[in-house]
Amino acid sequence: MIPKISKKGFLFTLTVIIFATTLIVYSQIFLSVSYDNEKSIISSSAVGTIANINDSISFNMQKIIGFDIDVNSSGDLNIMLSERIPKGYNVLTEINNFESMLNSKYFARVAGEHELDSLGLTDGVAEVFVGQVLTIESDYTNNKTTIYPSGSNTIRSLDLNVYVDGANDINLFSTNTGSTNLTINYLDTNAQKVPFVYVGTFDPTAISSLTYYYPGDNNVEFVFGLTAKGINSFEVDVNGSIDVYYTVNINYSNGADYLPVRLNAILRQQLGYADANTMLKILN
Amino acid sequence: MNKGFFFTVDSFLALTFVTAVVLFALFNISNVQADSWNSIDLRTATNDALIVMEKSGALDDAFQESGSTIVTASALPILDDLNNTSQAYCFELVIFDGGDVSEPVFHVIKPECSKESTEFASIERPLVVVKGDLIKTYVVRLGGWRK
Repeated sequence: MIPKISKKGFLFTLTVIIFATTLIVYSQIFLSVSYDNEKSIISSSAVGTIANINDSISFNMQKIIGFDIDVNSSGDLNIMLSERIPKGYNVLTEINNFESMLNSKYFARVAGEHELDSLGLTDGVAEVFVGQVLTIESDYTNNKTTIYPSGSNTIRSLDLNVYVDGANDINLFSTNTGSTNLTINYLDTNAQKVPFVYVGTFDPTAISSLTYYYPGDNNVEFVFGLTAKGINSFEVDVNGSIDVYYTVNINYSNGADYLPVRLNAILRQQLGYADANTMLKILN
Repeated sequence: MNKGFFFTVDSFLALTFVTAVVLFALFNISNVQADSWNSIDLRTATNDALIVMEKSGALDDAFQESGSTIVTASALPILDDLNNTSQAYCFELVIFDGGDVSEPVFHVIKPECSKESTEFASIERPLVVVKGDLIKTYVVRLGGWRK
């Protein structure tokens, strides 16, 4: 005997089946959305990783090239450069060794694909670009550093502090006076020599220079104003085997709110959805 | 067969079906991970600690010039920086020779930390040490975990 089909029972069963199906579908959707959210959270860290690797390589490359740079570009443009010339080691060899270590060992240990191209640094001159307005060239082959503008920036003041480990023989100082402040403190570690101090002015469109001659054809020359790279420039040129430590603060006109400072080497990176092909960043 | 027998079988099947559906839904929900940001926080803290040690010069101070070579020196500057990190995190610093990155030359763990954690973050950075006329490259690895 076939039992009667209860209409209420049928409706109730159908409702339960729909409810169960809905529960299954929603839980699967919830899981899928959560996976996508987690994936986007984790992949967002790739941008930070790329920036951190660039920062680390740039920081260490600066150590090899051997200078400290600080740039403040809000209002006027202030450049502070500290350096030792000569470096005491072969800069070109060490740049190549560092690049080789990165490409063959370090990049294999970090996530993503990375490649450093330091061709811009291995031609004998390491360039640092301050936006598109200023260039700092470290000619490590000839022990010469030059700071010069690419545009219309003019020097408003220059402050030079020099420390040399040696006994100076004679010095020659010639200046074309002008309206730009110039301060020089030159200290020779030979206690018998009086430090050279100058507080005055110079003309940033003409040549002014301070040269110290040491025994054995060793000398160091500082040029203010007009150099081989043009006006409103600064240059230090060391010849021989003396160690020169100096810090120069130059105040240029026409700063900007944002002037990135970059080292002339290219870092190519790819990590997850992020990829970059940028110069080494000293300051953002 | 009595009505009671059919009723019991029917309800048993229904209960089994509902239980299976609920279990399946709970299984899906249990697979949802809500701690991705915690992983990011750990990685960020580890990365920040390593950057501070590098930029403060603590890593450089772990080495010194000895004759014509650079050798390891005091771990105190690094320990100072590690002790200044959050008490919620532990760190282990290992420095490898850049010429042979399987060879550790320096190792230190943050005091009062032991390596017991299911989650671990690892950050590596290159390191160039310049001491006078000497220069040498290393790879630095900082591992971090929660206490």
